[in-house]
Amino acid sequence: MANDNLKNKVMTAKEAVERFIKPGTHIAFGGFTILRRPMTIAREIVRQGIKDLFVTMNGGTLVEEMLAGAGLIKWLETTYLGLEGGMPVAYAIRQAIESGEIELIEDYSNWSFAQRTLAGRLGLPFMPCLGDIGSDLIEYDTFKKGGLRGKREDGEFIHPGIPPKKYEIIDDPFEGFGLRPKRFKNGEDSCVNKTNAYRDGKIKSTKYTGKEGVKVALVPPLMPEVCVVRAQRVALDGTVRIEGLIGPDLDQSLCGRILIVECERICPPEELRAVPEHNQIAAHFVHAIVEQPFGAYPSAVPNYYDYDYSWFRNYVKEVNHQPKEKVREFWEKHVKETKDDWDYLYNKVGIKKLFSLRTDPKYHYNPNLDRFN
Amino acid sequence: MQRLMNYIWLLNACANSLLEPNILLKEALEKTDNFTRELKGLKEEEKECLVKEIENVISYLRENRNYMESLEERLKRALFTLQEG
Repeated sequence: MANDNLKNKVMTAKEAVERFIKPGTHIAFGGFTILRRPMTIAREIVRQGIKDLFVTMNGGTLVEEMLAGAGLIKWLETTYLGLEGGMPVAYAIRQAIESGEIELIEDYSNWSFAQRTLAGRLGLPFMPCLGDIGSDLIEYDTFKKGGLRGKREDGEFIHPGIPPKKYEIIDDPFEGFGLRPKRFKNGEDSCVNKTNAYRDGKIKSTKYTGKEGVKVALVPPLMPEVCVVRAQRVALDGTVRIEGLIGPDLDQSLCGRILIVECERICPPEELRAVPEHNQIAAHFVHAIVEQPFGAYPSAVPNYYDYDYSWFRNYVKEVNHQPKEKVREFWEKHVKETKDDWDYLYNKVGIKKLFSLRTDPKYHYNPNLDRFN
Repeated sequence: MQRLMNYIWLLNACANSLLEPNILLKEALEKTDNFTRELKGLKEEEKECLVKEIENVISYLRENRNYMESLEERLKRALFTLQEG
């Protein structure tokens, strides 16, 4: 997905969304739970009212809750649907699923989804994992039920973003050789990563394949049309510097066709060349750079600002158990009616609130804030 | 000499880690006058937020400057010992 056009990457959120996100676009949002969520682009999608989105992410749910509340998601592929302790099950998403507005929802574990993004990034046909084996994730396949898996008569995949199978379970071709604990000639295994279920490779299960022994789940690559990620700094040429926990962002950023990076600050390339090993994404992968200070609000950006628990508390108070119209009204009033993201941040949130979330350089977060409990 | 290398590598880590701050500080210096000129006409609450920001940065600059000055003084003594001792 290398971008040959190294010029004119800097644009407003409005321009980036108009250019790259259309009704039905398969889009992966970066960040993890309440950390570095790309809210600026997501809020602009709400302003532009782009519908029927195929949304995918590894560990939401703030962006997705907003898009569902605004009625913009058609299909959702995810690993987690909650707003942490404030709202353990994301209400607008649940409501949209129950009412059929979100037509299909597909679920993976965080790890198997991360493996999917890694396969996508590396151009591999699949990645192996063990964690989902034995769970319902293997059994339930809503995209298959929806007739979206497989190929059409002309040989093309039914949907370019949906693989023909959710999983493929195979017998471990290496007969459990790599599983830990393992017998070594020179002593006991000291690896902490022990696969207890397959202790000593003596697994007798015949489930899935009919053959006795160790099983492996293969997961297909994730290949969305657009990936959106939030970083602290992006150089004018597109080099990306993410600070703090990276989570699944690196692989997820590089597994799609188009990469939009929103950031706290655009900086001169020289600034990020001093310690190049601290940069994560090379310039040529980036198609659009959008600068918006405080744009991840109400999620946190390490070294810049913390998450705003009061926002979550207020959201729960205003929308939980409310009818759909009320939920939509919340997002219209708070986001859709704003001119752009600075209008939202400055006039709806307030400058005092934003600066109250600023992090302490000694901790990289704000040690004095009210937290989820 | 082998024993001394631990401290030399510590100084090396200090010097290496100062490259990025060096670039950032030069850039900030270049932009500060322009920033100061743009401060007129701000609202009270905006001013309050920026005062806190700048005071915070000054306290970190001061702390690091103090460490750097102290280290420089002691290293000069080490240098003197090497050259004159």
